[in-house]
Amino acid sequence: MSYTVARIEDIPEITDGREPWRPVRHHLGIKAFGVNVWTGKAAGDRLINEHDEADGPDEELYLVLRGRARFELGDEQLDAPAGTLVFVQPETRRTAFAEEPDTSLLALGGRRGGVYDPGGWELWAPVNPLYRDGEYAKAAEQGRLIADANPDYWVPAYNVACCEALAGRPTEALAYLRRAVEKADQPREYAKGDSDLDSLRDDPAFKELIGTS
Amino acid sequence: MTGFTAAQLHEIPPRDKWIPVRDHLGIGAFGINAYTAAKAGETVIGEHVETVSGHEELYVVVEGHATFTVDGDEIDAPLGTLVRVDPETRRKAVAKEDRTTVLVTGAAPGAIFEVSAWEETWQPNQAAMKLYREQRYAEASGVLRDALKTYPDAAQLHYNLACFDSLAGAYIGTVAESLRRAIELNPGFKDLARDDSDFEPVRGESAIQELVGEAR
Repeated sequence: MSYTVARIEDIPEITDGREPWRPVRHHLGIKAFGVNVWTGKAAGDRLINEHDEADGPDEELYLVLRGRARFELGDEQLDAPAGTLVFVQPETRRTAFAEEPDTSLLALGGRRGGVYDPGGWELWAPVNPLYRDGEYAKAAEQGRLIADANPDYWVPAYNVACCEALAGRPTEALAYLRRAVEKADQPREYAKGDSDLDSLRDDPAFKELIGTS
Repeated sequence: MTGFTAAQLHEIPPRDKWIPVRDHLGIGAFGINAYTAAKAGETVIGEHVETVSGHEELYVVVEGHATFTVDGDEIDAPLGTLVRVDPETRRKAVAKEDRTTVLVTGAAPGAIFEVSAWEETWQPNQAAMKLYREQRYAEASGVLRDALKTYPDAAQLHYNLACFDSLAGAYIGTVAESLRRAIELNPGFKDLARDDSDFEPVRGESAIQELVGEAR
């Protein structure tokens, strides 16, 4: 498809149990940078979870599309009416709250001097509460549906591998880990230090996949 | 640097009809600018492709109401519309309401972002265009020749240089070489040159006809 079109309000919100957002990048099939929209329905709602992007490291740009937001950036507060652009460095802790009902925030992200990785982290969001609660077998079952339906992304397959490993199902874990490493280089690097996969670490098949033998 | 930079979109000093968001905030991960039309009926996004940059682009209508034409399809785009366009797809947008603003983000999938040549060369291009409007063609060419020392792969600079040299009565081989380089860097300039009145003084020259064909 040479182009794709949507209206922000027509993209269904998803949530990982924290603040809901609209996965614009995934919905439109964008591969060159990350983009999502976060909406606070009531004044006082948190718009974006407190986080930094040092792991990427990714630069992020926020634009207040409507309403009014209050950003917390490191130790500073920023009043941000509609039309405010906030460009945040990867290491800076940031969060934002709606100061008015129906405040909407466009968030764009990418890596300076590096290639953006459209790994599909957004798709895992609905499964994350199960993972967080230690319900690994259930998380793996739900996650498999997502990974199988979205074979172009490596993150869902990798996360299924983690949940399967934590649920004590090494065969399934290795099958999904194989899918992930066949899609991208990043999962191989993540797997080397990921404690979720510790139960697989002595398995020759794991060593061969990750290149640690 | 305190870890962030903030600005109001319309407080960023505009360059002609566009707002240099990326440059103003110092963003290095992707290209991002905003384009505003003061009146309904004005062009917000000029017709173009991104074949040279390879940029996938996302357009977001952040003020007003626009009509996009993408790949020949007309798209009604009220406030909050998102349009993603592949690099080789032709696109443009016209304002349907006064004060319509479109935010444009672009980068090439699977590649490290580099600032687009047109953005870097905007200032010398503007200086040269001012001289062009005053019909001081040879001086305009001089400005671009200097700029090309810094930006040798900027297709727009080569194209404009060909135009100015044509109007200044320069040697035909010089005009043709600039136009050839522009088309090589951005094939879209071939169609543009075919109907561009700046090339009227050299239209009959075989070196030009070989590059662009007959005028339509």
